Amino acid sequence: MSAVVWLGGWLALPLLGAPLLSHPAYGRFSRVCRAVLSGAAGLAVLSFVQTVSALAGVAWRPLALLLLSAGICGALRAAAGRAAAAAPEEASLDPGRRLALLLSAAGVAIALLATLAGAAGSPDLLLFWGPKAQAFAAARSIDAGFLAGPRGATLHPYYPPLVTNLYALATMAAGSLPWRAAVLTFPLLLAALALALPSALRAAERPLAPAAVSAVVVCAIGLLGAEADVAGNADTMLLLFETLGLVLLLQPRPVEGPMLLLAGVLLAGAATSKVEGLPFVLAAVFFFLLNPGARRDLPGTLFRLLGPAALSLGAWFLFGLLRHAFTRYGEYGSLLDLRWDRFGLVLAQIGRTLWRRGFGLPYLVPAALILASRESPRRLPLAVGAGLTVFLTVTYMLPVAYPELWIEWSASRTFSPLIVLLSLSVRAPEAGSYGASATPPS
Amino acid sequence: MKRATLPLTGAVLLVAAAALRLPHTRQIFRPEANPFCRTLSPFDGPIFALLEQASGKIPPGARVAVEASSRRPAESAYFALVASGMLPGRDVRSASPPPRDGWRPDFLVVLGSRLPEAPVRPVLRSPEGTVWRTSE
Repeated sequence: MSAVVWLGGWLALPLLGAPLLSHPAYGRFSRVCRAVLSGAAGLAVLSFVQTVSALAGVAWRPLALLLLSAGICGALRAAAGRAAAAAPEEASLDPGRRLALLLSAAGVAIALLATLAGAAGSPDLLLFWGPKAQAFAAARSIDAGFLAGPRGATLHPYYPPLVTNLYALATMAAGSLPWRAAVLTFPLLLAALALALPSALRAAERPLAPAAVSAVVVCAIGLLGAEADVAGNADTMLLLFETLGLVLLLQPRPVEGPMLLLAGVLLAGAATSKVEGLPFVLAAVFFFLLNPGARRDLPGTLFRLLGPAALSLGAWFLFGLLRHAFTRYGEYGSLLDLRWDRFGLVLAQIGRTLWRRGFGLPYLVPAALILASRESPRRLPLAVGAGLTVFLTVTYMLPVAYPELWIEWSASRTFSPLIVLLSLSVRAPEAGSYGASATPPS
Repeated sequence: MKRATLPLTGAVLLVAAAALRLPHTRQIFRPEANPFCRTLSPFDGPIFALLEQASGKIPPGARVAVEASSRRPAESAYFALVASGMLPGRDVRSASPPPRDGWRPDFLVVLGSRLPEAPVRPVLRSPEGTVWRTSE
């Protein structure tokens, strides 16, 4: 029963973000896509409210947190700015699209079966995500004493709070943390991505077969998730936020204010899901702003895109600082002490690790899409992917004792945004150019 | 459809690879399966199975010592870490090495088949390990 309550509570998340997603600018997305975007945006805001409550020393009361979050989403709608109302593009249910939706469903179903078979459970759920959520639920707040206590060294106390906040709230509602339900978050979040991505991608600039590209993303994440044991940890949540946040930045230029704001809220969700979310967000915003059209209202664009993440992470670090739980990211050493002599070892071990997880297929298939495309790829996702690759490779040269083990354990997950970034790089030919079709893409 | 051919082919390849990695259907739905029984870490499946059962036998507030049969400190320390998360509200410590501050457990959880040396009362026996009452 507690499992049903624990997971069932997640279904209320779209209600939190609904006030924001009722903005007419988001009418271009399908109803189901808007529901997923509402849930993701609502969750990012809810986690922020929980963090600020903990910072203020106010105990969590679920109903008050939910109402406050929905109220903030309503205020965000008012602040989003004006944009023309839009209706979703009709997508014909041709055989290609039908097959793509079927493949996405199969990818999610296989992820569910792998989870039920015990082949995808994340040890990190047992080691720190779950224990932190239980402690926070018992304390009805972010328990700084638990984070800074004797177990602190194994809890990664500075890891951002979104996943533990949500798990803790669900645990408060359910009475205990149902471990078998917690691992189901992997197929559940993958299903949410499968439902939202085709419509979100269809609204992007020059989309190429959105349902089919979405199927590649969903199936690749499903395969990698089972191979790298992600069920119950924060990786799928991070990918959901990153994918939806980035795809909003691929809308036809100039990207409207409401779209930028929603992207900013989703990127805040990414930055507060995992440590790797922050470099992704910074790279996405930096490369987005390299486009001259995006800099016409630079302060407004920066505020919309980075404001939510700055506020969310600011509240988290202020909490850590004031409660003496943590002061910064990092437990693996200083960037000043990089072991450049390990460069070859790091590259080789990253390659081996990516190959071992499904023979590298989750990365090779999206890369093949770009190589086989006759169109030049979108620059933004590729640039973010390149920036992230350099950052992660350099990070793995930090002076840890056993770099091979560290890379073996984490690289397939930390590099997983490349699946999304490579897949979202492909685009259709320009209208009227050679090979362009007048029929809507499937 | 033509534009979708390449991504659809890629998705078919990915689904096929994921399906091939799945265990047999009978093994997916067997009652003793748990979320960690086929993960990369060989310890997590047995540890989860034992602690999930133990959590129903050990009351909140109890002092619990945990130990891996191998008595290797690293394995016992890992077991103690997971146990402290899966047995919330209990004071969980590793029995290898034994605590030096005079701390005495109410329960002993042993991962694996080894039996405790001291005279204790069995509370739970499972293929993954045992739970013992060490004080009345």
